[in-house]
Amino acid sequence: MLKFSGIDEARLKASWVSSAEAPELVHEFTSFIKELRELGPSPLRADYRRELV
Amino acid sequence: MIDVIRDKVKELLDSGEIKGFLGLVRKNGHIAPHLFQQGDDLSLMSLGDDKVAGDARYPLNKFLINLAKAYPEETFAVLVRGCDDRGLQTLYTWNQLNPKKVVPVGITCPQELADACECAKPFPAVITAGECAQPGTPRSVAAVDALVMSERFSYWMDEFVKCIKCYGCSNVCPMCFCNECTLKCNDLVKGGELPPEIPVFHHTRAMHMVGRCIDCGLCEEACPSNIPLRTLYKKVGSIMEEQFDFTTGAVRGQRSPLNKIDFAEGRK
Ligand code: SF4
Ligand code: SF4
Ligand code: SF4
Repeated sequence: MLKFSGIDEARLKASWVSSAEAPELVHEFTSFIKELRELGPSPLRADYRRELV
Repeated sequence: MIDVIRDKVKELLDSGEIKGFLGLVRKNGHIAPHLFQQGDDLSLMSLGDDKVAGDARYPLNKFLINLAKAYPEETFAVLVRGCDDRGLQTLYTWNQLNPKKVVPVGITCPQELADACECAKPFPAVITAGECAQPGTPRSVAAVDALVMSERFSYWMDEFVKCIKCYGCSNVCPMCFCNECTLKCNDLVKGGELPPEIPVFHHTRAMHMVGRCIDCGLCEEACPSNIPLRTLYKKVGSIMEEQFDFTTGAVRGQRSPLNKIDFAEGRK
């Protein structure tokens, strides 16, 4: 769906991490944050509402 | 075609097999849903073709759910086109209607409507009247797929930004039957904003249509902002077809792959 809407799929990540696996979770977070930094700011941050005339 | 339907309904009502027929009536210059009962004037019946074929369609199955809730012991007949029939099959699998209490009265759609709808099956499983048209050729999803990513993004954002959050799309949708709606949950889709959070609002609805949308197109017809919602949900449907070989409502009794938890791990 993201791809169909022109949004980079790499911006969404789903991982299966058990509550007993804290180091895994930290690793998932840090690596995903790193990947997102490399992708740059999200296009969704812009305001798509037009100026009212 | 309508004479055949009238005769069929008369026969069903006279035999006492059904309590009423949920169809359409032409009254005061408009076509509207109507429950025909024994003794009613069937000459006012309509099939929903006003200026062109199928331009006055309604989510009759949605009204049927309410009828069935209010009169659980009674059997009702309902006017169905191909999409409504897909809807019935799906509503049965989601336990919203009981197939033993529903008598579908099937009509076919003409070729022009099938083409406009890009309909995969413009006729119901059991046809009471009409000739089968060929499936319409899919175009709309491919047209978006042909765009590069940045164009797709601006195409959809320019459409979504027109949304006035009227909920017309879900109110008209025959497959929207949840008592609590995610789109109205403040924590999931922020309230009090126009347009609603985009694309979250529309993507949320699209995700909820997985295995549910029967591609009737009523949402897009109802949308006052002319957002091409049907294209979005057609894409959802095509992903289900590619990944799970599942077409919503196509096979009687076949459940959505997302509606199979009760069959998992030997719990039959
Ligand atoms: S979606 Fe198919 S069955 Fe429904 S109105 Fe359009 S052509 Fe007819
Ligand atoms: S086409 Fe629209 S109205 Fe029809 S089932 Fe799909 S989402 Fe609902
Ligand atoms: S019908 Fe159209 S305008 Fe209304 S909520 Fe749905 S998408 Fe938005």
